[in-house]
Order: sequence, then structure tokens, then C-alpha cells
Amino acid sequence: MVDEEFSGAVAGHQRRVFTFASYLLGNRAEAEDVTQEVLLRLWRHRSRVPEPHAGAWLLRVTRNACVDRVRARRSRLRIVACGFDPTAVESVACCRPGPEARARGGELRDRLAWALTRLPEPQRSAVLLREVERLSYREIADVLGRPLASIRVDIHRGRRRLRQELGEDLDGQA
Amino acid sequence: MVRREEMGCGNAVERLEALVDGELGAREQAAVESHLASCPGCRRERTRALALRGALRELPNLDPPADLLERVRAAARAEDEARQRRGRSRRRAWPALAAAAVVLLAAGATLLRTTARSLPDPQLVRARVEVTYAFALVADTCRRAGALAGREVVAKRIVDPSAGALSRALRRGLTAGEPGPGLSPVDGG
Repeated sequence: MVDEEFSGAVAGHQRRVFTFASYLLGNRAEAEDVTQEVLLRLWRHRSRVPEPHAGAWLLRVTRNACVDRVRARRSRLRIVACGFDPTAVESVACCRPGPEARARGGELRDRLAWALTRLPEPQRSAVLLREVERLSYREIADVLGRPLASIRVDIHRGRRRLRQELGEDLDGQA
Repeated sequence: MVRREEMGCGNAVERLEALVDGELGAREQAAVESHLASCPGCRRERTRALALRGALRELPNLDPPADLLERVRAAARAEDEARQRRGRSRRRAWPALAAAAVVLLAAGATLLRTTARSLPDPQLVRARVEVTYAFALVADTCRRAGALAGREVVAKRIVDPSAGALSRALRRGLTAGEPGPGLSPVDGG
């Protein structure tokens, strides 16, 4: 019974969940864990999550799971780091471009993915939902449970910060 | 940057993201565009905003590992099986509970019949009425338990006959005035 129902209920969502979790966390292994956890949760609640609402439900649950992960990381860092420096863990960036990418001139995509992980919440989620998931401001407000006006501010601040991070790399890209 | 009365650079830059997203109202959009027409600095920011949006939209969708779905499916299957096992355990418990209730009922009835003989008549009648209703309720509960149990053998051969016999014995005892409440194995058929 599981196998028959499973494909229709869950399989179609795995790429979307994994992509969102990967860019939110900047860490592939953790994104895998979150994706597994979220899809299993969808399976458990399949009777209570009608298909038309499954997308928004999944993004909300994925985002919450990722935020929990980041909080847990920070707690671990606090424990490990005896001389705790809040700025060092303000944003946990795990996918900083490696030497190879930097040697290639640091491709914009790599640096952008890294810069995304340095954005604070909820700016990071808002920008990703807008650009990667292509949601409208109204849909983002629903997923994040924030007023529409706040979403506009989140996206503005998030993108402005990304522009600052990327500096001149953006010039000549348009 | 050139400052205009209608909209300053600060206000225009704050609205750039919404402008490139097409999320501004008509009046706001016109005001920002009017400012951009005369402000090279803000136009440059808009160009960078568009470049950033383009770069963000080129971020690829990522494929999870090939075995991820199978891992989730296995976990779902394991949960499903565990739930079924729990359900079976609960169903198995029902006949035992029902049988235990009937045994307790029989013991209670026997005890009442023994002690009732020493009671004065009015008290005895009243006690019989109350006990009859109480036992009828328990008997009905036993029947339901037997049905829920799904174990037809237990339900048909133990729970139903015992509860039925008890009910009949109590009713007979109440209407005839005697003998007292009791459970006769002969009535259980």
C-alpha cells in the first residue's frame, strides 16, 4: 500500500524540497536529512494536506526544519568555541567556494550561493522563495507567516546585502 | 545622484526590488521610473538589481541523491507496518478485556445472590432494580467489545452468551421476585 500511494503523494516534491533546503542550509548532507524528514512528514500528514496546498505546506515545513538545523549548529558552535564570538556564528556559511572555484575566478553562481548562506533570516528565505521558487510576494507572506509589507522589506534588504557582497562581480552581468 | 522633489534616491532605491519584480502599484512605479530617468546612480543600481535577479534565477534546481526517495519510502513503510502492528495488538486485547468483564460480572452476580437473601424485602427489590440496569449496561458494553474485537469465536462463544445469560437471569429475577440475580450456564446457548 505504501509503495502504491507513495509516488503520487511524495515523490514529485523531492527536488523542490531538496533545492530549497540546500540553498537555505548551504550544506548538502544536511539538506538530504531535512528532505528525508520533510517528505516523511508529508507522508504522515497526507490525509490532512490537500494536494493544492502541499507546495506551500512543504516550503513552510522545510524552512522551519532548516531554521531548527541552523539553531542547532549555533548551539554546537557555542559549546565547541570556548571564546564565543557571536559574529563568527551569525551566519553559518558551509558552502563557501573552494580554492578551485576561486582559482577559476570564483564563478558568480558559487559566490552567490555562498553569499545566500550569509543572509540572516527571514531575508534568506524570502529571497530564495522569490527567486528560486518563483513565488509572489503574497505567497511568500503565506509561507513565512509574515505581513506583506515585511516581505517587501525582507526581499529589499536581502538583495541589497547580496549586491554588496557580490560587489563589482555584478557589473556587466545584466 | 540627482535629487527630485517627487521622489528621492533613498525612496527610489528602496523600491527598486519591487520595481524589478513588478510588484509596485502603478503610481509608485511611475514615480520610481520618473526618478530613474534623471538619476544615473539609481539607474546603475537598477542595472545591478536586474543582474542579481538574473543570477539568482540561474541558480540550478538541485537533484537529491538517487536513493533518497527509497530511504523515505522505506521509512514510510516501516511506520505503516508499525502502525498496523499496534492496531492488531489493540484488537487482540479487546476479547480478553470483554471476557474479563463477563467473569467479573458473573462473580458480582453470585455475590449479590448470596448476600441478597439476608436483606429485608424493600431493600432487596431496590437493589435488584439498580443492579439490573447496571448489569444490562455492562452486558451491552461486552457485546460491543466482542463485536469490535473482530474475533468471532470469542465474541460468539464467550462474550455474547455470557452477557445474554446474565441479562436474562437478572430480568427473570426482577420480575419473579426470585431467585436472586445470577448466571446460569444453561441460559448461555
